[in-house]
Amino acid sequence: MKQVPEQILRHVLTIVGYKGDKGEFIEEFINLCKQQAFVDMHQALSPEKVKSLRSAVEEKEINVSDYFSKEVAQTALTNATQKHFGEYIQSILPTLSEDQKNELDFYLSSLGTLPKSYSNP
Amino acid sequence: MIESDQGNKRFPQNPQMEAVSASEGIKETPTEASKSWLATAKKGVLGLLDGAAGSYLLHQGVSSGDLSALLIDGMVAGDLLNQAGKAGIEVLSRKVPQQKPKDKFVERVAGVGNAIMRMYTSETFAIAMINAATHGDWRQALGSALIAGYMGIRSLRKTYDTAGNWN
Repeated sequence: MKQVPEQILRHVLTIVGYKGDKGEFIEEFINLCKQQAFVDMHQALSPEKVKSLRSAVEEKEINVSDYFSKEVAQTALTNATQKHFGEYIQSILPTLSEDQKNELDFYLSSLGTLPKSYSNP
Repeated sequence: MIESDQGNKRFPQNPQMEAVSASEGIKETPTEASKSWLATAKKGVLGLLDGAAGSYLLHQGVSSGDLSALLIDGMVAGDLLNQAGKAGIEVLSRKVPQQKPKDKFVERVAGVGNAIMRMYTSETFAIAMINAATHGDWRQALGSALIAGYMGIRSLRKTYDTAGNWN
């Protein structure tokens, strides 16, 4: 199943009864994950690559693929998103009703990425 | 420890949490908790970006004396450098005399370092780098990661404590 992050996040916000601007929250959340991914990728660069990137930034001529492969970027983004979404859910959980928790669990568990063997203990 | 997942309930019940909240008369709403979490997370990540920018200054040819003077003079402070960056400069500041002429480091930072820091710490720069590095194909990875992030938290629910937190 193809997962569209904006739709998933919007549904989650609806379930938890988010009263603010959902679009704004979603955009900021995604940007946050991208920024985290960039920081993580940058920290993994060798000193030589950092120096080269610095020069490229100075000259405003950056060929991104010289520093970060698509695979590395996607992995970094995946890891950053996992971390932040998990922390987000954990932070709001105490504010949710049992019904909201169950609805949230039902929705996220139904999105097709769960292993078949997974079940509630 | 509470584990009451015997029936249809997928999450453990937590009567103690509700009791505490009721007695205190304060219960944060999901909206408030969401906004609070996002603000804190953004601050943390922007701090990391600032720190990465600070590392650039250390590679800039700007001397440790200049950097320590920058810190002392308050030009690089607060939002511009996070605690990690400051800590690094403070270490340097203990190793060098602190009587550098101001015009020298002002010129250097204004000429090169500050411009780089501003670009590097901008939110759009980091986002643009990720968009370019993933060739614009970031949605699939992000969507799947949302589910994985949730499952990581869900798997820990056996340690759901009386304060309403997963440990």
